[in-house]
Amino acid sequence: MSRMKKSNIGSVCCLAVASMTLPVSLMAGEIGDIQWHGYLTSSLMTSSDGNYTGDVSNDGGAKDTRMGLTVSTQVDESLGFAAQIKAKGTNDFLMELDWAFANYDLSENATLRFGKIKYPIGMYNEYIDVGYTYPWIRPPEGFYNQDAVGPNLTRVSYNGLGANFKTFTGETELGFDLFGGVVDVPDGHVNKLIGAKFSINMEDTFRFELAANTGVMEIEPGSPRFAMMNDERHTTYTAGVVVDLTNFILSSEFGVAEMGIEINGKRPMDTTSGYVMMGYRMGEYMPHITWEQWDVDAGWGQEVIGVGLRKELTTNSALKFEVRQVTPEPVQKPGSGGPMTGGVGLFTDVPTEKDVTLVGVAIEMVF
Amino acid sequence: MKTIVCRFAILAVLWLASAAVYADEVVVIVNPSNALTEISVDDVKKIYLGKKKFFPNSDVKVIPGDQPKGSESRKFFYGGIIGKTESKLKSYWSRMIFTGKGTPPKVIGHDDVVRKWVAEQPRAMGYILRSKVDNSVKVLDLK
Repeated sequence: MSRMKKSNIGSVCCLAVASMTLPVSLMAGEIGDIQWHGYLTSSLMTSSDGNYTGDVSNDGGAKDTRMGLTVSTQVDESLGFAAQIKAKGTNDFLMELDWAFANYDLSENATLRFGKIKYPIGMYNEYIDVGYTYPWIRPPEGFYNQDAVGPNLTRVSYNGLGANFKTFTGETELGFDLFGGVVDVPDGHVNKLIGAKFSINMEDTFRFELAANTGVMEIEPGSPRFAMMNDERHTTYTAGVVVDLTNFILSSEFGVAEMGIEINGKRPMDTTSGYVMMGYRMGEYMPHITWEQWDVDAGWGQEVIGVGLRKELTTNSALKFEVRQVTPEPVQKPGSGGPMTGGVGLFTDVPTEKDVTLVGVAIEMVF
Repeated sequence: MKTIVCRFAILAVLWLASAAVYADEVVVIVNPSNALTEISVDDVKKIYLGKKKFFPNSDVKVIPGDQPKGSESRKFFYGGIIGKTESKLKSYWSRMIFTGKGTPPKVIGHDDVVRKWVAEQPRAMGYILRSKVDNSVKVLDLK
């Protein structure tokens, strides 16, 4: 292991220990005019068979463990700056810049942003690493998975410019976002990205979003996706709703990702994804149930049914348990001509079980 | 049946009465130099949730001041006026903070410290218990 990695892990461990031992109320704070906050997720998830999304196997693992620090400051009355660094188990706890941007208030209801900005598609995507903010250990991966084969509905962040406009009708906030730039993906870029989002927020009890964005894929020649995706237009459409009443919570999203390439009149890389989650708060406890479906037109996909329990430990931390049954859709076993027992879904190696069980536990905190 | 209806009626009256007391125990204050004399509950909510940055009908930027968790005033203010529990408030601000869209109001201190801060800061807004008000600050009528 390189000295740099050791150093990074060391600093991450120090942060984790500090997070656990200091009183939570003392953690967030200010240095001069700079405010800083942080989050920490410590999780363990295991599967009964196969390797799910490349990091959950029957060996167990804690690769979802992650932490981040956010700093923000107001330079003057109109100009502000904010940035977030994070370290994730899936990235060997190397510190990386998650996002960093300047925001300029044109007026009370119009703001411009410049820099590396979190991708604003999906109800949870902009704060997907902050597990404290949602019920699951992982939000539905068919919708939010960013490593899936084929075009994805969501991305990590984009480099570019965003504009937000909002207005109020009584206590209802109507928002409109425009954004554009370039997205870095592991094997290339999504260039000429433009997108728009319309949102309604009724005092956080009802939130609705409708979004679309499009860009042109630039894939490195050595990538297995090069022939299928390079220079193709990638377009996504998403709709989502969150109803959060005193005790009852419902969250549902639906999305379609289109890739321009056509083979024999079909577009095999197009994907469709959706989920419905319902939960009910009973004091500190919130049991919830989620159904999700993810399909790639080429013939693979998966259905997931999950149940979970979230327990509030303090107003800054929560404990989560989750059990999911993943049913990958059957595909032809290469070379055999016959159907497999199991399918591919979001597994990186093919499970032999028809239904794979995932079990997870996590502690989430913000400070 | 009649008994059940009576019990529900009594419970409803008690609930409404407790909500009214909640809202009345705490008052919103500004610096005496501020021209504002009243403010809507909706505007107070927007200011304390980071959705409104200026005083109503003004180009003067507002600086809202908060009280620490556990203070009686904070409990009355967020429970009775803002309408959010600490848990929902934390969830809301987490979404804002970790997307870089906003940060919660600064925690200034308890009632006496907030009153002193508002008295010295022309753009300040705060909340304190009605019993802690003196003539160094101006109480806004909530409409």
